[in-house]
Amino acid sequence: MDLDLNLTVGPGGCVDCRHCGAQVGTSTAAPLDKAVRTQRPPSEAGPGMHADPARFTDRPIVLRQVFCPNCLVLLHTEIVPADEPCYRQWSLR
Amino acid sequence: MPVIPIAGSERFGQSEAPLDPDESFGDLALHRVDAQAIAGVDALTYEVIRHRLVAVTDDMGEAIKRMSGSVVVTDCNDFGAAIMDELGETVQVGLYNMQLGSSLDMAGRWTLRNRSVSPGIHPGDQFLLNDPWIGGGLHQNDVTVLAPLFYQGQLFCWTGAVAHQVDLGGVSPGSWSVDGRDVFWESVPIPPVTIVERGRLRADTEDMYLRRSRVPKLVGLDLRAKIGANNVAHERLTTLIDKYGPDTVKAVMKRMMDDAETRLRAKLRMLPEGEWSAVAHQDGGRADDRQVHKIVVRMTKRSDRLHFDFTGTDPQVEGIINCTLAGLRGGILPILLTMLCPDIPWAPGGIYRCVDITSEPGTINNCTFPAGIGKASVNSAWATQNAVSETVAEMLATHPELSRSATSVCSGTWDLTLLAGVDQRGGGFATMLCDAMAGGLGAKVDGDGVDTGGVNCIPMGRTADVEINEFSFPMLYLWRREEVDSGGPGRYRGGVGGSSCFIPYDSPAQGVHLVVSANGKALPQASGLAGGYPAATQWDVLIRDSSVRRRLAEGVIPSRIEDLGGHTDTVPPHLETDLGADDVYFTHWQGGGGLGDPLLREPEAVARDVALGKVSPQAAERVYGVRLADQAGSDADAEETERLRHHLRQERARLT
Repeated sequence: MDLDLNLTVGPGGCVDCRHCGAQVGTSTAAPLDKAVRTQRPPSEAGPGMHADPARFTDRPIVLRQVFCPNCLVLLHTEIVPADEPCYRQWSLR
Repeated sequence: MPVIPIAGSERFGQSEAPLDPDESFGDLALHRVDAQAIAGVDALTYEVIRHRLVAVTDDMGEAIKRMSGSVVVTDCNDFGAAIMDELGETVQVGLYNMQLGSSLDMAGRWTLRNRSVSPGIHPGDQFLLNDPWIGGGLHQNDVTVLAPLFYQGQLFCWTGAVAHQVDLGGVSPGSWSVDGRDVFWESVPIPPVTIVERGRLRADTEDMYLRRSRVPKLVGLDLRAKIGANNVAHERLTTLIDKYGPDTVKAVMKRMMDDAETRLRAKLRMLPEGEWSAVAHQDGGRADDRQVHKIVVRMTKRSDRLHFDFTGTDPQVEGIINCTLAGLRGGILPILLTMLCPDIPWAPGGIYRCVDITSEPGTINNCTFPAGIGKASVNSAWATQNAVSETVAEMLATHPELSRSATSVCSGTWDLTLLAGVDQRGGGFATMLCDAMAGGLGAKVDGDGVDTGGVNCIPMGRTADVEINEFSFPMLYLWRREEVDSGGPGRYRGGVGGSSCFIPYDSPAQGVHLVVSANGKALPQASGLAGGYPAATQWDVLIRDSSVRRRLAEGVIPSRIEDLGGHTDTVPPHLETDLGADDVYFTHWQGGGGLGDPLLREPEAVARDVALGKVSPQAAERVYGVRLADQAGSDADAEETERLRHHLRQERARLT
C-alpha cells in the first residue's frame, strides 16, 4: 500500500521510500524512525518567508525537514516554534 | 485584568449532542415520521425531492444576495443557508459559507429547549441570534435568523440564514477590536430572540439589534434579506409538502441524513486504521501579543468513525482569537464536506454521526464565556480547519482513488482589512474587504493548487470587482494581483495568493480608519504535505507620507512598494490605525501549501512558473533546484539543473 507520493508499506510491514526502496521506518507504527532530520532557519524555506519572525514573536521559529536516509528525497516540511515537539505524526495499525 | 468567570453563563453553552427524538417542548407539536415511512420512499421520489431541497438552499442564497446591500454579501457570498429537520438536525447546507452552516443545528436545539415555552414558537415566527456559544455563527458578526416552518399546526422543520454583518458595535469599527481582552470589548452576543412574530417584524427587537451598529441601515437591510430568504424557503417547502405530503418530504429529509451517514461510513471503511496528528499556529492573540498559540489535533480512524481529539491545545487567551465549540465544528465540517463528501449529500446531520470530538472547554478552540471571540471565525476556527485539513488529507493520501480529493492546506488564514469612516457621498461606512477570497488552494496529489482559487470553507466565495469596491468605498487601488512565490513549493505547487495595494480616496475626511488583523506573519499557516513546503507568510505593509499622489498626477501608476516613497513599515498581526491622504496600504494574503519534494517538480513546469510570475528566479534556483537558461524563465538548463539538484539534496540534509 502506498502511503503518499514518497512512501509505501514494504515487505514485513516496514515503510520504504518509493523513489529508492530504502527503509525509512521499521513499521507503520514508527514510520519515519530511520529518516534523516534537519532543523534550519525559516528563511531557508525560500523568499516566501517575508519577514524575520523575531519582528512578531520572541519564540525562535525553525524550518524542520525529514528526508529519506538513502536518496534524500524530502518527506516532511514544517515551520514551527523551535521549543515545540513535532506534533505532525502519523501511524497505522 | 483577568477574564472574570460569569455565573450562569453555562446556560448558553451546550454540547453538540442531538436532542432525544422523544423529548417534548412545551405544547409544541412536532411533525415526526417513523422508520417505516423513511424506508417506504421510492428511489425516484427520493431523488426528486432531495434535489428540490438542494435547490431551496440555492434559492435562499439568491434571495439573500438580491436583498442585501452589503458588498460582503452581494459580491463576496459571505453567508450561509440551510434546512434543518424538526429537531434542528441539518438536512442540507448550501454551497456558500459552510462554516456558517456548521452549527445551525446547535442553535435550533437551543431555541427548541429554551424558547418553546416562553415566548413560544409559533407559525410565522423567526428568531435572531449571534451568540456563538449557542450556535449559528462563529463570531458575533455572523448573525443568524432561524425560522420554524409549521404545516397543519405542527413544527415541520427549520430554515436558517446567516450572513456576516459589517458592524455590530463594540470598541472598534467592524466589531473587530484588536485590543480586545474579552467579549465585553466586542459586540455583546444576542441569544435567540423573536425578531418576526407571527409574520410581523418586531420593531422593538429590531431597534434593540440595530441600535448597536455603526451602519444600522445596511444591517437592517441584511436582516430583511435573511428574513426574506427564510420566507422564500418556506414558500418553496410548503409547495413541496402540498404536492408530496408532509410524511414523504420529511421521510426524504431523514433519508438524506441517513444516506450521508451510510455513504461516509462506507468510505471510511475503505481507508486504513490509524492516527494522524497536526498542529496549527496563530501568532498574536490581540495587538501587542507576541505569543504563538497552538491548536493540536489527533485524528483517529477506526472502522467507520473519525475521532478528533484536541487534547493539548492551548488554553483560551486574553484576546480576540478564541472560538467556541461552534467554531471548532466550523473547522471540521468544511473539510469533511469538501474532502470526504464531494460525492455525498451535504447533510451535516448525518455526517456528524460519523464523528466524535474530544475538546476541553476553556481552550482556544472551545472557549468559555466571556473569552473574546470577535475574530473566532477567521482565527481559531480557521486554524482548526487547517489542522483538520492536514489530518484528513494524509489519511486520504493512502488510498489510490480517494487521494484525489485531498489537498494541502488552502489559504492559511483570512486577511482582515477593515475600512471605516466617511465615504465619498458623505455617509458613514464600515466594511470588510474580501479580496482575500482569492486565496490559493492547496496542491493535490496529481496537480498544482488553483491559483487565487478561493478558500475551502466558502466554495462560492468571490472577490468584489476592484471597481465595485472603489464605487462603494472611498478607496483607489494601485493594484490587485497574484503574488510571486506565495504558493507553497512542491512537486505540485500550492496555488498562489495575491495582494492588494490601495490609498484612501475621495473621502471628505481625507482618510479612512483601518483595522488589520491577519496572522501567519511569524510562521506560515498553509502547510504542505508529503514534504511540500508551506505557502508564504502573510505580509502587510503600511507606507506613510508616500509620493503616490504626485506620481499619479504625473501619469504614473506605481506597481512596486519601492516606487511609493515615504516611510515603509511591516504591519504586525493586529493593528488599528488611520490611513491619511498620503498613506498607502499593501496587503498580501496567503496561498496554498505545496505537495511533494520541490526537487522532483518537472523543470519545465518551474520554468513556466517563472515565466508566468508564479515563482521567482531566486526560488526556482534555491528551492526547486532549477537553473534557468535566462532570467525570463523560458527554459531550464537540464545539465545544470541536474547538478544543482544533486548539490541541494546534500546541502538541505546537512550532508555537505
